[in-house]
Amino acid sequence: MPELAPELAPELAFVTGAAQGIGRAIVERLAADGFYVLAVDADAATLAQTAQAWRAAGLPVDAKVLDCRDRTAIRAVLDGVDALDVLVNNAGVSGVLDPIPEVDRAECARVMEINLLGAFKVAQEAVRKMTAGGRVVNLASRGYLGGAGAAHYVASKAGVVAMTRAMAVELRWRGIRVNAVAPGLVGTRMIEDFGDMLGALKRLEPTGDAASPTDIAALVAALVGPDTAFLNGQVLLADGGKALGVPPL
Amino acid sequence: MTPDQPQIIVAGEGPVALAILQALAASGQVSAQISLADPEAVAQVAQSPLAGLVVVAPPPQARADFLQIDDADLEAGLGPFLDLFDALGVLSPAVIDGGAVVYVGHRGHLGTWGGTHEAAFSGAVAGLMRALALETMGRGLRANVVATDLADDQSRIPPEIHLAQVADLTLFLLSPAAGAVSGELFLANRGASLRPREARNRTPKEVAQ
Repeated sequence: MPELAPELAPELAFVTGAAQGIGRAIVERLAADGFYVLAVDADAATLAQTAQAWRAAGLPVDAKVLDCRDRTAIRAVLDGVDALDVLVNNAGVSGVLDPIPEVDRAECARVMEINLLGAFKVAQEAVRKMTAGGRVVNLASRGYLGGAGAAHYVASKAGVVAMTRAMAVELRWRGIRVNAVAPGLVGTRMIEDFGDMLGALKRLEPTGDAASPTDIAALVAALVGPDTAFLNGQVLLADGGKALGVPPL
Repeated sequence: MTPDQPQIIVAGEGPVALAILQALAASGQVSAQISLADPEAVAQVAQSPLAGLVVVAPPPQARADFLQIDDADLEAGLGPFLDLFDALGVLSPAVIDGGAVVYVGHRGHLGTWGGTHEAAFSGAVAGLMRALALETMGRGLRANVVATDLADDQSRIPPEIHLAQVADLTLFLLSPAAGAVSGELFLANRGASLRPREARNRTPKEVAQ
C-alpha cells in the first residue's frame, strides 16, 4: 500500500478467496469504491492470472497466496499491516455432494476446516488489526438453512452464521460491526460441481438463473459502506427470494 | 415394553443424558447409553433397528474472549462435531422409518459473550440437523434440536426440575405426537434467550451513571 498522509490514505480491505467468483467480484467492487485491497487466495495459479488482470486494469490490489487454515501464514500476510478497516471473509469450498452416510470424516473435516475454522482464524487475526469503525463481512450461504446432500457444507455455513452473531455481540463494544451475506445459487466455478443438477437448480430459482458474483459484491460493498453503520450481527439472504419457497414441481 | 421393542440410543454423558435416560425408563421405553467417541459402540448398536436417537452435547468449553480463543480450542470443538457427523452416518440408517433423532445442545448459536467458538459449533450442529431432516424425510425420519442453557437459567427453578423438563421435551420430540415436527430448533432455557442478565446489567439509568 502506498505511503500517504493518513487523511488521504484509502481504507484497507482484506478479502479472502479472492482469485475468482464472488471473491474476485468483491475485490473489484471495493477497489472501484476507493479501497486499497489486500487480496488472498490458496490457489496460486488462478490468483497469479487474476492479479495480472488487476494490474492491467490499474486496480489498487496487492495479491498474496494464503491458505486460511494456517494461522501462522495469516499472521505473516498481515504482518506489515498497521491498521485494517475491512475484512471480507469469503474463502470456502463446497465439498462433495453426497448424503451424510457417504461423506467420510476426512472430507467433512476438510470442509469444516476451510469454511468455518479458517474463517474463524482469519477473523481473529484481522480483528487484531482493527480499531473502532472496523467492519467484517462473513460469506455464509443460503444453504445454512438446510440442504440435502451437502450436510457438511450446510453445517460449516450455519457455523459461520452463528460465528457472525457471536462476533457481533462481543465486538460491538469495540466499535467493530460484523455481518454476513448468505448467497443462494451464484454463477461461479463452484456450482460447476453440480453437474447435471445445475439446470434443475436454476429452474428452481425465482429468477430462473443464478445470481451474478457482482450482485453479491454489491451487497458486501453496502455492508462495509457508510450507509449501514447501524446494521450489526445480521445475515442478509441474497437468494432472490428462494428461501421463501419454490413453486410446486 | 416388549422384548423385541427397538431401543432408543442416548449418546452422551452428564445430568441431561441421565435425566433423559430416567424419563425413557419411566415411560417404559428401552434405551441404551453410548459415547459417540467410541466408534465400536456406535457400530454395535447400529446392528439393530433403533426407535430413535438422542445425542446430548458435550459440556460447553470454558468461556474465552474472541481474541483469546486458540487453535486448540477450535480443534476441541471440531472433534466432537466430527464424531457426531460420523455417528449420524452410521446410526441414522438404523433408525426405523418414522423414527426420530433429537440433538440436545446449547443456545450458543444465537450469539453469546465469550463463546464465539461454542457459537460456531453450536450453529454447525443446528445446520447439520436441518440437513439430516431433509435427507431422511423421504422415509419419515424426523430430526430436531433442543437448545438449552442451564448455566444461564435465571428462572430460580430448581435445576433438577429444569433437567426433567428438558427430558420431557426430548421425549415429546421422539414420540409420534411430534410426527409433524422436523428440522426445527426449540429453545428450552426458560427465557434465557431474552438475555435478562445482560438487560439488567445495562439499564438506561446504569449506562447514564
